[in-house]
Amino acid sequence: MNRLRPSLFALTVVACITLFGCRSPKQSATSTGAPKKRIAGIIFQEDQYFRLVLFGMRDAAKKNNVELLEGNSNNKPEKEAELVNTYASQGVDAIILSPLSAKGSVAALKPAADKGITIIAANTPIEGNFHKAYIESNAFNLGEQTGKKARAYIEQKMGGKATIAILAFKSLIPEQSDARTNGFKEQIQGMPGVKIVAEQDAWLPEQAVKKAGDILTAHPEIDLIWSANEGGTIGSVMAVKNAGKAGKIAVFGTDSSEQLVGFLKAPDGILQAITSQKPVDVGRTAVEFALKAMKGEPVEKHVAMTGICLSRDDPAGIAAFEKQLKEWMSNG
Amino acid sequence: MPRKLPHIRQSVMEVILLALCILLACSVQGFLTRANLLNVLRNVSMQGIIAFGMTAAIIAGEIDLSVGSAVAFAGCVTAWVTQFGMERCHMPPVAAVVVGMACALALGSCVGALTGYLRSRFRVPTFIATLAWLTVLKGASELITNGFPLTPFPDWFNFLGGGYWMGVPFPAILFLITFVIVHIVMHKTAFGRSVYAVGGNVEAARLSGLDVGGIKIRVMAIVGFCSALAGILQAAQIMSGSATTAQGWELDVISAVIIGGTSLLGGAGSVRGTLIGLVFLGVLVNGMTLMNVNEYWQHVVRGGLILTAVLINMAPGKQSGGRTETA
Repeated sequence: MNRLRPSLFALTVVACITLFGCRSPKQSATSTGAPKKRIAGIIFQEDQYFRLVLFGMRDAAKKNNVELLEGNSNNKPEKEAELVNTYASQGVDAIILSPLSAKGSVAALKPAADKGITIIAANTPIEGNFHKAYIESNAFNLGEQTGKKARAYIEQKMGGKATIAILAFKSLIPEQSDARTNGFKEQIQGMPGVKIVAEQDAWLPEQAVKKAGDILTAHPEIDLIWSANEGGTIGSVMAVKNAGKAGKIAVFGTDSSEQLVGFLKAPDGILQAITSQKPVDVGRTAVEFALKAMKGEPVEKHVAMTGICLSRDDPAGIAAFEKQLKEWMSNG
Repeated sequence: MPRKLPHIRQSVMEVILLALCILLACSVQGFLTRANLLNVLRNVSMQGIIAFGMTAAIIAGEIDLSVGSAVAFAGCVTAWVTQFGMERCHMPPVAAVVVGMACALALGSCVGALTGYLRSRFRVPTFIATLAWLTVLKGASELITNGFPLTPFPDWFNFLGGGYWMGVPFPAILFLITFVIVHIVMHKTAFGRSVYAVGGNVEAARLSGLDVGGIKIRVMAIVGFCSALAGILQAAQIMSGSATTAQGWELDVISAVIIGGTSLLGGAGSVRGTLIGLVFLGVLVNGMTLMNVNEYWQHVVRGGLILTAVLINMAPGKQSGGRTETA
């Protein structure tokens, strides 16, 4: 009996969790029994960006009366392959995937495409020609738009001189990080009074607040920071705040969140501008393209969506974006 | 009695740290400044608070692999309760934040205590139980935040994670207070001696009348409490509760404990050693950032130096400790 107790305890816990999990309204909503097209949407991590991509997919699926099966590969190639195989064997009509690797994910996806399943790559690319479309945010443009704002700020408010630190995510996703960074750098290059003195990786807020703090200690002359993603931007703003340098150091960033919008509105004047991606549009377009491709209609092979620049000097733009973001978040 | 490491080996890590500091002071401008050294202290403080609790757990022959998720969970709980308190219960921000922090600390301690209970009652290894908690707490954080960072905190909350008190970063003060408390508990109290005894030889500890199960429950609850405290400070530092923070912290924390000379086999180690290990890692990362070392090289250098430090630290004698039987 003693030996059975741990098993009984574990079984009880698992049963409770399963029963609780089964109460999910999403599952009951899809069990209407009506014949529907089925699309699998596979993201690779559970963060705000991908939550909004999923929101876009759900929105488009609902509007088009399509059943959406949601999966998350959790940055694991083996899980990605497992999900693709499972959905393929279930006979889904299309798979929308954010591939973990342009080359590595081909092995999992190609057999599904060979079975006649429509494949759409979203957010990250895939090699080969078996997919119908690739929809992404234009990474270069994300850096470029903020770079333009930074250039104008340097010219108008800093007398054309700036000492810059960059926080990126090169060791996480090199291609995206480099594209965003190059977009930003292109805008400030050729400015004689501008120099970049530090370029480091930090993409999570807690990581970035430390890294930016260290950089500001090493280079007290820094008066502008640009970060390539949301976490880096949050960390940079908090590091400037912690160092008591609000008003002396301007931060420019990439991506958007409720917190970053709050920073743009804050009276401390640290965060000057960010360029947001359009994750909801990426998700929506992916589903719409999948449906078109399934009907044999032509779709654009590659869509690179430009970002939306939000700047402190455009409160109306910030307010409109914030309203939209809150709506997505409450529904997402 | 706590089995103390040989004096010579205890000093090896201090010598390595000193050498690293001298090297950086000579080669990196701005390293040996008050602002930078306080910065290092702040950078290690949150992981450090957990590492002190983890030291006690590892000395007791246990481990907690869920601390990263526990940090994120505590931050999310604090944020969620604060938001709920202010929006639904119309509580003043101070009260809502205090209730949020209390809930996070209580839940963190309970999760730790439950791990200890599973260990002592059902013999579920903490390695396995905390691996399960790692995913459970991550999932729970995502559920309560719905995948979006929660940002309900009033401005003053940032003081806990980013503020200064008498010129010293507040998290660093809590870090030092935690160090003193855990050091006293581990080396000056009967409970601390029991932890060493349980980790050294659990059967002998039981035969000598120690409540082995109770000690393990309390030790794991301490780690849970420390993780929750670090989670609150983390949330205060970034002013949000997010499910994606602190991923992989367990490895950093365990690295610091091991570098500090604590035996993974249990029964041997010191909180002071962990402090040295933490500062060593903090100085290393800080130094490479100040030198603007390429990120890829930072990973290689960091791993290599950690391995070297542990090897040198263990060189004078074979690592002591080890249990004869598990609870």
